Amino acid sequence: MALPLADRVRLDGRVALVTGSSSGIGRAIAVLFAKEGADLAICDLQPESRLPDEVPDTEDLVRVHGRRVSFHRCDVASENEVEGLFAAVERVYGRLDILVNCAGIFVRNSVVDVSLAEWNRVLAVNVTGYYLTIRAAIPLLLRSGAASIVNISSIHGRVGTGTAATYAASKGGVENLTRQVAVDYGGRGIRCNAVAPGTIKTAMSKPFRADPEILREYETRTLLPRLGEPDDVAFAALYLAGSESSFVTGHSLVVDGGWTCW
Amino acid sequence: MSLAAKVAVVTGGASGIGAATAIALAEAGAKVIIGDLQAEAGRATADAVGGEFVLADVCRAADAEALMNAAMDRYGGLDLLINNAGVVLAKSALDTSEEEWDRVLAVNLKGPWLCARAAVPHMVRRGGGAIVNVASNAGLVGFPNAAAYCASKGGLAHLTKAMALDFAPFKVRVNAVCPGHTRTPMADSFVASQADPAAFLDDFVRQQHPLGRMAEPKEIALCIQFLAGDDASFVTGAVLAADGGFTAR
Repeated sequence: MALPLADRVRLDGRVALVTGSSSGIGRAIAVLFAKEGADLAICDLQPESRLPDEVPDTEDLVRVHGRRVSFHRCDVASENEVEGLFAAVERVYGRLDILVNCAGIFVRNSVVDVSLAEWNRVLAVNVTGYYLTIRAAIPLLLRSGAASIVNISSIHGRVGTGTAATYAASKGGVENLTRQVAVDYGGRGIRCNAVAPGTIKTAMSKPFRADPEILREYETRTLLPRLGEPDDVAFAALYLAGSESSFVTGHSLVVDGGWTCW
Repeated sequence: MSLAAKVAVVTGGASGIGAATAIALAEAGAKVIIGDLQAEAGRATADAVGGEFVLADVCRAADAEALMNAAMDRYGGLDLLINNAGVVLAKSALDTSEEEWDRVLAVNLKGPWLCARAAVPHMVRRGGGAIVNVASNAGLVGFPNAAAYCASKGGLAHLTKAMALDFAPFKVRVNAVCPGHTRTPMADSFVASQADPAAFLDDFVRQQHPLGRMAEPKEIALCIQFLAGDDASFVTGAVLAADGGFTAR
């Protein structure tokens, strides 16, 4: 008889790469995937979280679950650094089954307030960074046989809200890049999906949650009586990364407590 | 993810996606009540998962209420409702009769509403719950010769969002899954009704689903299980396409 689902390890023996892994959502994903039996390559600009209460470092938390882990310092907007990252992943693990793109930056501005330099930087990390990692991952993922790419998007990629023009443009790009990669590689054993979080309690949203007016907007738009936790996004990423979602590709799953359904 | 101590009603649980869902939920620890019009197959699935069978026509309010009451009587509570019962009609908008239209809309759209309306008061007593509506990729995009079916499933996907709003204050989450072509008796009958079933399978299923194949019922069941469980506790009003990339094209 099969093990009850609750006792199964859902990513047993898979190798996953998570970008933006030091804080918030990326950190929660890396730790959950390790708990579910995956070996982890993790990468960020620095190993420490941007939230002082998120200790110890992700690398140490992953190790607690007895999985292999390697931290790679990487700016995903740099072609050279991303190529170096994937060379290291191949050297350390020899394979890759799951890519989670989570590295991203948020700025709150209207189109007239944002400088071209700032616009370019957000697009470079949030869209070009996803393109560079996907491009570098595909040769490895093609050898996996059951590969999955999970792009962390945002409800800002689906609706206009909160004066976030640059971020909205970048996440809209992620949404459709996800569909295109899914269509292009669906027949070759690589699925590609997105998770579109609403307001999640991360370092990224912290300064905005501290503003009572913005917080009231977050709580009004979110139907459920709480804001999201990084683990809410991590569980969705786990579902999309593993074999349970084997017929799901090209989808962006909203994890927003109902923000975008009205 | 565990569903231990959860009680689930699965409509249309006798066969296909519903039966696979009953099995998946039971494997995760849930107690399962199956409501269906097919008594023999429904009892067989209920026996297989150690659950109960209730003869129920979901488009009758009294049946929907009796089904939810059965969960209360047998297991003392209700946490999950899987609105899966559905019918397909392979007819264009020109060829569909008024009776056929009414029947498809009654089973596929009115039924989920009646069942949700009957279930939520019981869920409130448990402090919350989750509803998963089984819509279709035909509820997201148009299909030829399936006008009533498309309308009913589009309505169900949208009803999902309206009910997510209505039930959020009671901590009842409402989400939908939109399966692509899945290997079920209902889908088989739809293929058989095509002028050239083999060509339909090749063109529609293999060419137009980027994964190049149809889904197995279990793949949809695991999607439903995710949305029903606590891993999705911040997910409501979501319409999840489990369609092999069909609507990403």
